Amino acid sequence: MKIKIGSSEFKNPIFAASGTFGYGEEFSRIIDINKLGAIVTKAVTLKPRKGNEGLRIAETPAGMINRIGLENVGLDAFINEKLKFLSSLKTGIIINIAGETKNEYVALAKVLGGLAGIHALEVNVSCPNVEKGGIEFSQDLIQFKELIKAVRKATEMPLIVKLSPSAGDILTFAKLARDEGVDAITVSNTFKASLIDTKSQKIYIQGGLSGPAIFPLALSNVIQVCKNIDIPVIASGGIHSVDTALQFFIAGAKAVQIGTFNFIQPDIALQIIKGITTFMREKKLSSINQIIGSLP
Amino acid sequence: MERKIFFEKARLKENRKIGHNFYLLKFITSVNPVVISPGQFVDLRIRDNHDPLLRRPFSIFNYEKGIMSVLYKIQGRGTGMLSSLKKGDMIDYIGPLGNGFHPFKIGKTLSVAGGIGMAGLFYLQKIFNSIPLLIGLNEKSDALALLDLLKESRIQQNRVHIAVMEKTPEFFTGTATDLLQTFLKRTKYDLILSCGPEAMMHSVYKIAVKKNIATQFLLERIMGCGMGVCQGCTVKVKEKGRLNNKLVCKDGPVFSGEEIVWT
Repeated sequence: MKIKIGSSEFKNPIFAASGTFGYGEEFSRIIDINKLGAIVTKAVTLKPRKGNEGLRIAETPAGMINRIGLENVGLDAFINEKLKFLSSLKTGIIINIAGETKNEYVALAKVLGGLAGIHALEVNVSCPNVEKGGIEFSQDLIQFKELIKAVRKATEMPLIVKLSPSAGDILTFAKLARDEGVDAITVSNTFKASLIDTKSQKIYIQGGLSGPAIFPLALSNVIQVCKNIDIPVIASGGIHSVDTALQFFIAGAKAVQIGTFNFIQPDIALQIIKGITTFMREKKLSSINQIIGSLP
Repeated sequence: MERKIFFEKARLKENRKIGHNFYLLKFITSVNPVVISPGQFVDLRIRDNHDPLLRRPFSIFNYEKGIMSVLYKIQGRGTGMLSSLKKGDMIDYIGPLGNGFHPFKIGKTLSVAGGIGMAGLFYLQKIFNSIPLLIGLNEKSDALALLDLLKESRIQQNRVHIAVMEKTPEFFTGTATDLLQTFLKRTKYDLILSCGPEAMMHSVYKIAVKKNIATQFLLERIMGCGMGVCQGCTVKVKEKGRLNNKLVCKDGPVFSGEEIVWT
């Protein structure tokens, strides 16, 4: 089940998605997280962030909307308090980085890209650029390209870009990222979503939708991107079973990330690893690569 | 040392209505009572389907001989579905979660619950049965059913005092906070523990502040994971003179009245 992204090798292609696994500590108390292919950490920003005020999550049919606001301990505390535990694990460690300016991303990439025990960086581009009037890096082709170019220059560590599905044509962004030399792209982040409170007639919540509800939407994007791009695609969005993970692999994803369903079923990643092993044995396949991209 | 958290499938032993408004769910558990701290909760996955998606957190009501129980009220679709489960059905749970009540000297302590908020205070009552527990309920029938339940759960009734909104000779008429006021007139207390609707807890806090009594409140929130990962269940607190967000699931669910920013 081994796969490679850039120069890093992962023992299997089942990862935990950013923001749904913290820095690993909580889940390590109830499951053997060393079995995962990799953990993508909660986003790390240069300075600590308090996150959003008010309601942060809401349940929708087979989904969840969140607006956490990238609450995290910041780079220094991450290195001093969280990295030691992560480095002690026998699983791949991918650090998700986020910033408010291009320079913040570059600073994060320079520091984290030079540390041992980290196998890749994943760039979260769904953040408002405060220097460009708060338009998300993921929404504007020019600032997206400049950001990726700068981060790529800042580090030689394997670099993944996590795309937003709410920025128009996801393929255009995927091609831009590829042209700037990233090692893989994650398709994709949450879908922009809202709920209105009919009693007050005001917005109840506005954030990103995740969970089983988005699986077919994410799959459609993964199919499109995999057909047209030759660098590794990491699929993420609504995985809730062995079958949904397999669909992503058949579509061409080299790895998958499990997100919200970790909350519902904390051992879902382990069940999927087991299920795919069984699937491969039954089909007499010796490598996961025989499944990846098998869609005609 | 960190306490063990269990994550397992459990068989339902019982799921029945208590009075007009409440339900008691009992399930077989491998949890050892040593790991349960009063005020902790379990996160239940009600059905194996995806709607409703998220687990639902419930205070641990009782533990006895390998059986854990939660007391709940139908609040929405999740608890509605929960109420339809039958003996022998399987649910899965994660827990015990959260930290429970902060350590305190039992001496002059009083508990106050509003409605289903009482679910979070009984296990404390069972362990330290000398603490008076004041409960505010709407209906007399619920109060009578509750007393039967306490007897069956081996939770001492003689320190449990019930206030009922419905006028009836058997019980104090009024709210939990009305009943609290009468207790505070008679005796001096050092600490009040409380769980209930946010407005009721705020009233309890205001009463306690006037009388210089320390407080601990067991808060409820919509939770995504129950373990401190999703960071969805925040409460605003004052910490070293600054405002901060804390997580109800991981940092709580119990907070002191002074640290909570009441709104």
